[in-house]
Amino acid sequence: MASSRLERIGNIYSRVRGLLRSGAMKPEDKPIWYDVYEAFPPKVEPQYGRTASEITIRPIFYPEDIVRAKFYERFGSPGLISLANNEYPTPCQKFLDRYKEMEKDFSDENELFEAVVKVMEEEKSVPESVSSNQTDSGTSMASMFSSAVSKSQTQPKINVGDLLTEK
Amino acid sequence: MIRTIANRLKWNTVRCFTQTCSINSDAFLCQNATSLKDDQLADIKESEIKEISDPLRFPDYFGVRKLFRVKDLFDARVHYGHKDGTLDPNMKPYIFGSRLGHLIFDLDKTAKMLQDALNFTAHIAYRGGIILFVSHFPQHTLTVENAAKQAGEYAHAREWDFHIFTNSEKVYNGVTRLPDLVILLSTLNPQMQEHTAVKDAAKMCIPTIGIVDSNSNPNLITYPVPGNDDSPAAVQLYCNLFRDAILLGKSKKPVVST
Repeated sequence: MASSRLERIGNIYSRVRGLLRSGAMKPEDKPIWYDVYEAFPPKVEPQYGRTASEITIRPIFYPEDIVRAKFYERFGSPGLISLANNEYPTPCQKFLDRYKEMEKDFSDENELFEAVVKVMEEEKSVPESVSSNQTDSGTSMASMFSSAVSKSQTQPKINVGDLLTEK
Repeated sequence: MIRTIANRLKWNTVRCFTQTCSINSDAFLCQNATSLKDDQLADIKESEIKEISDPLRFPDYFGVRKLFRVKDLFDARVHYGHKDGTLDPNMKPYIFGSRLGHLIFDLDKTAKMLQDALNFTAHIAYRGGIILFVSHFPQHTLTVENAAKQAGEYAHAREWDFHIFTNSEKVYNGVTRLPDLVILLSTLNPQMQEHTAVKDAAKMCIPTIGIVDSNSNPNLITYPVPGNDDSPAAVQLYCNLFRDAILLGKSKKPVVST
């Protein structure tokens, strides 16, 4: 089949189109993708030398990041966090949720932060300090395991023999 | 003759009627698209039926847009890019932003481009084209090969031998039919260089669909899909989607082709 192997010139569509127009490629030899490409051309034409327009990548920040930073400064990282597990919120997320709830009652940010810390400490749902041990916040491996075990125990046990007998 | 075509049309393209009222001049038919009857359909001229049954006239003939939602992409971790410093400048339009040094993809843009890619795949499968899944990462070999097997297509998920496309007659000792579409689950090889298949497919005028991560170059890919190409969950999602698109395209094939 006649075709150019210079992939940097034009794109597959423009090269095949040229071959079809000049008669170097017979209409019956037209590749099957040709009509599909014509009907649904890509949004951006493929071109080896194409350069994207100058775009500055913006940093992603949220207003609550300040509270997050304060939380981690005070309490440190709580250890392992499973990003794939959406079942348990992280201690920081719990803290933030409580922070948002109590936001209306306080005008000063620092007072609010301390108040939330106090409430959370009473509930024992934040680590005591940077070097604190595991707490029953539901995020430690041990608590996740025990909750899974208790869940499986509460489910009724199925006896295969009962299922097979006709009643 | 008309009756048989009409019957076929009835259970095959009822959905399409609702989308493309402009094609059909009969306004009554368009309004009652879901409750068509045989005698009403028989009134359409044969040429009109031919026009209607041409899948290329429909924006989404195979219904590939319903295959996924943006939330599915998010759950499969498609939005995670590489670190700031590895960004390929050509990927800038598809980046949402940088979260503490890690690039995040704009999933709205990814979803649109993925829909285009799936639509193209379904059309190629419908037309009886050969589709080749390509990946070079050992950890994804099984996923990719299984997807190709389930779709009844081909996979090359091992080390890429040079000249497979460009000198196929010598490599395979005979005239070789090259694939009509190459789907690259990652456009890089494990050495972080561009996969040879990208260049060779462009040389041989084979269209490519490629998952391009933030450190890949999308220029030579015909239908680039910006997204994470490293996470097993993401690769599994792409494989499932392309497999389903191929099966959708093939499922329409024996009904409409005359």
